[in-house]
Amino acid sequence: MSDDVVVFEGVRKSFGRVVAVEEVSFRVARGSFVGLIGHNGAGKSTCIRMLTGLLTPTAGRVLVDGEDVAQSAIRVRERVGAVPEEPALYEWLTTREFLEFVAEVRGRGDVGRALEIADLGADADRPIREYSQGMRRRAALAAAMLGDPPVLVLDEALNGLDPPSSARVKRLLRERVDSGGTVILSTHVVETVEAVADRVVLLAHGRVVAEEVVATLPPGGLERLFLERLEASRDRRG
Amino acid sequence: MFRDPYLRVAWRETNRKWRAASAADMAQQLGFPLLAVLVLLPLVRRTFLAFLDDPADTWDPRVVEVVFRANLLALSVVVLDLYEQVVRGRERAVLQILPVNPAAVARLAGVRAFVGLHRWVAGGAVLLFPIALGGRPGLWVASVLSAWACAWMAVPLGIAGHLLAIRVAEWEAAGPLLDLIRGGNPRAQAALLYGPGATLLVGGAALRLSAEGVPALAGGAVAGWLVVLPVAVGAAVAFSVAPLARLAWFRGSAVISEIDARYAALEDPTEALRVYLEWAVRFVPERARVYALADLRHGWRARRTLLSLQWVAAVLAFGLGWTTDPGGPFRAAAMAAAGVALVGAVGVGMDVDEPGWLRLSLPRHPTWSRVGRAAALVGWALPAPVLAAVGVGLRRGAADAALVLGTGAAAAVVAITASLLFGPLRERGMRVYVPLVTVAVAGLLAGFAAVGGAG
Repeated sequence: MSDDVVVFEGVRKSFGRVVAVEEVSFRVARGSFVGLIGHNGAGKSTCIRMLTGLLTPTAGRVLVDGEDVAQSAIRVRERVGAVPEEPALYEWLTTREFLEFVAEVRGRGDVGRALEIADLGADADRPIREYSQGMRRRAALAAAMLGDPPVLVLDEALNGLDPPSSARVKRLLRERVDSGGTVILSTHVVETVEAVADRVVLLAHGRVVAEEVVATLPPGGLERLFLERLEASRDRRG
Repeated sequence: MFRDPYLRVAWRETNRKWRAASAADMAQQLGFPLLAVLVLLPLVRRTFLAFLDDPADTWDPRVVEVVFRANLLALSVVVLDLYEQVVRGRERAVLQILPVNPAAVARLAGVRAFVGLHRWVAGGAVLLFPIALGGRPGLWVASVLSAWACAWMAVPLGIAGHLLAIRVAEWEAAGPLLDLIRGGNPRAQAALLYGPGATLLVGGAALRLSAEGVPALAGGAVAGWLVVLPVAVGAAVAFSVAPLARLAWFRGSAVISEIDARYAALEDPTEALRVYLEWAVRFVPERARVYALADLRHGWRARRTLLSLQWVAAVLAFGLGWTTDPGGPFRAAAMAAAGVALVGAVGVGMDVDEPGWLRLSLPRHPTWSRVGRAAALVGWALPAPVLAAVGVGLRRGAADAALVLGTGAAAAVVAITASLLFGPLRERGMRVYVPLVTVAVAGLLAGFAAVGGAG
């Protein structure tokens, strides 16, 4: 088996004449942390939705562990834990009950550990509908991590978190990667990616305009690169 | 407690919602259906069961018609309810990213719909009870049995229909047909829109046969077994639900995302911004125009299904009025009134949707915003009374048409005024609106019947 756990191969997604992403190809190695960066409307969420099986590519394919996402709905979901931009949860359950449900559906998972990781132990028996935005996001993250799926996909998942929670989540994600997991984080916040990711894929106007190893960039280099490539992409589009 | 985790979650959620419900919520959940049945009982007796005044041995063919239509209505309601649960519901948002068992998710939708459906069966049993009181309890029992058999068929058929529609939405070979019927909608949406119609067509045949079996069962004839035919159809269809769910449930998320994205990216860039009746704002007073436009856009995009249902009511009202039967005008007026009451509920729903922070950060002019809202509601409410009056006018003359139009207009005034008054109360507003408008509209229809409109 290839060591690339996620593969985008010549992916195109269009809605009528509107092209959301075009010729997107990149690979994510097992045990790496990849940041997907782009301006608003660059195609990040479209890519994430295709990766989680919520959209089907018009052309090309997305593979997770060698499985075509469009063909293997359940197997892909067993391998991918996802935190959508706006997480949907069972509002009337407590987080503990929700996580127990997710663990049962996944067939594995340590609920106590997930609660501890998400720092929700003290609030585990409160109904989710009473949670703040940040707590809901942490509950969604705990659900996504439950059962240790090999790939964790987060779409703007740090939005709405206060600075301590954000720092905690970043640390958690980093630990996850250090222990062999793979994380793909979509965001438009350059600093976040600079702080935690190993590699970055830059998207502009639906195309991949750069792929870089974060450690090779000088301080502040990612932002400069992002702006340069965005400008160049704009020029190409006329 | 349930071993099935999906049922367990549903049970816990339902349990907690009941425990957290206020007295008003409980009154709405329990009291409203009871109130509706009590209000409808004399109206149904006078309109649909008027033949009970004739000798009992002449009832059979009329009972068949009533049972068939009632079952068809119940099937329609179940199919629409299941659309929410199988295709677009809140549950999908939670479950679509998890490796769930699609067959178990479909089963959960079925259990929910089945439990809810029994309120309809019970309500139908009460509304048809005058048949028993009239001296033919056997005919009443057979009618209720037919309704119950319909429930057993409606749930699996509705689920299978929606799952099949998802498959058809993605089926390349169906593309040309879907393009033919999609109108301004994305191709995939056509499959989801026409799926319920196809389901009704398939189920309708079994319901017709079941209704035909009612007099036979009451009379002890062999053909009485036809009453429970829908149960057999439902059981046969139920076998297809699990494999269909495995094929289609997850694909539903991709189909819905595709539809939503295409609505936002229609080929004509201005098309995505235009909504139903937007052109009509030019007739609204200038100071209210901006509010009317916002309401037309928000209402259409957020409540498209309900507003489309209003058109269904309008077409049905036309059909009910298209008869020389003396009861036709009353039935047309009743359907038109239901259509406008639905539009009023949309108005209240729009107030419920509006986030509190928006009101604070973007204050609305207290008078002109309500004028704008009223204009939008009037525009949406017009088709039902107008089409009802046209249907009646063409078959029964101008006098009956005027009566129907007048009743529809009065119902619209009631519904829109109530919507404007109670909408700002948000959730509480809906709790007031529904029973109040139901009673007021029932009163209007009783008045209509009293002046001779019910034939």
